[in-house]
Amino acid sequence: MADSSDRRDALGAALMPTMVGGTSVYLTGEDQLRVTVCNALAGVRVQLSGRFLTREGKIVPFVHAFTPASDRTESTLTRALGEGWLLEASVRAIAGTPKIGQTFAVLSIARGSTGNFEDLSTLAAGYVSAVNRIAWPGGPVQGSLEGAGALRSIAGAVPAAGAEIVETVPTGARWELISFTAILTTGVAVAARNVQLVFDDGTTVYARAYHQGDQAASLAFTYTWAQGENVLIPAAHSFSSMPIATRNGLGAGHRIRTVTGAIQAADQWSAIQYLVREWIEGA
Amino acid sequence: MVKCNACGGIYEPVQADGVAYFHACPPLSAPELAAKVAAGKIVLPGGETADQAVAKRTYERANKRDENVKSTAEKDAGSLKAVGDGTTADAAKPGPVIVPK
Repeated sequence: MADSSDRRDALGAALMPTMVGGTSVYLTGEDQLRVTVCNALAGVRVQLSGRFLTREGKIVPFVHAFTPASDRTESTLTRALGEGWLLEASVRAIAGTPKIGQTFAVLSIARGSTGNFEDLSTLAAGYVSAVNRIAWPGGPVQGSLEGAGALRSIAGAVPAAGAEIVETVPTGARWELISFTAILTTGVAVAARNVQLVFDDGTTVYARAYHQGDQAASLAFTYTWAQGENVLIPAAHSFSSMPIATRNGLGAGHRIRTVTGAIQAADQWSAIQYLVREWIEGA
Repeated sequence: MVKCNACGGIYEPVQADGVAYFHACPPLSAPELAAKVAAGKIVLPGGETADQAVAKRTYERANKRDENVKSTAEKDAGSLKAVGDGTTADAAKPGPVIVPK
């Protein structure tokens, strides 16, 4: 006569995945549900929730929340659910107001222990917000560079007098530069300053956008570079604009910077503001 | 606002949209490079002027600060690529002024 453990094993074998609500995700006691989040916004809290069917036939709901780092580094939440079948799981932001492009989550099954987890399969991936969640089953596995990205207006660092502007794409980000503007106020030293916006990969320059026309001493000019912009240099100008490449892509560590020909020690760049579309990109 | 002690740049560590700003010092400008040449710290090739030199290549600061994290790996959360000479608190950026009705 079979004992109780034999009956349990027979029951487990009988409950093939296709017989329990169509789910194919059977978790052994070693398998764990894991959420990996790369997030760019402070104050975001991410929640994992779902339902699990134990071998004993009991449906157990689960809800776990955590606060991911806001520097685009990976933050993880790993939970062992026991032995049974995953019925469904979803991930969403329950605090903060991340936009698409700012909080990217991956839901996976992993094995291992602290500091040594191995992802075995990916269930869902994509950007999460208060209204957008990733879910299994039925949810897509999206790449972090998909979608419209987050539109961000950024105030750049004001350099010291006589120094140039540099803005660096942060680690873990991909940018598309839409527009860039800044004011150059020249000192009394006589010289014909000419300005270019330079793009480099952190070392090597790969694009330059020159402004045509010089700026003399003791003047304040507004310079703008933008996608789709026309070359505009009015005759008595205190402003001018130049186009930059459309649909440009700047990887982490790439730099946007000025190179000002004949810049003098008292010349000052200020009011640096630019618009980018931003995605998460692991590095 | 904070001021970078290496380059003198002034910036807001957290932007208005709540996203952190990761400052990295710019390469030396022509006047900064000229000062280094005058101080005997570097010799420019072939009689180049500082203006010509910075148009051809970049000259980075030995004490460059780079606040970017080293990688997106979990172990690198909160790290800095280069501390440089640190930062000093600076006056707050003036916000919008509300004019009474």
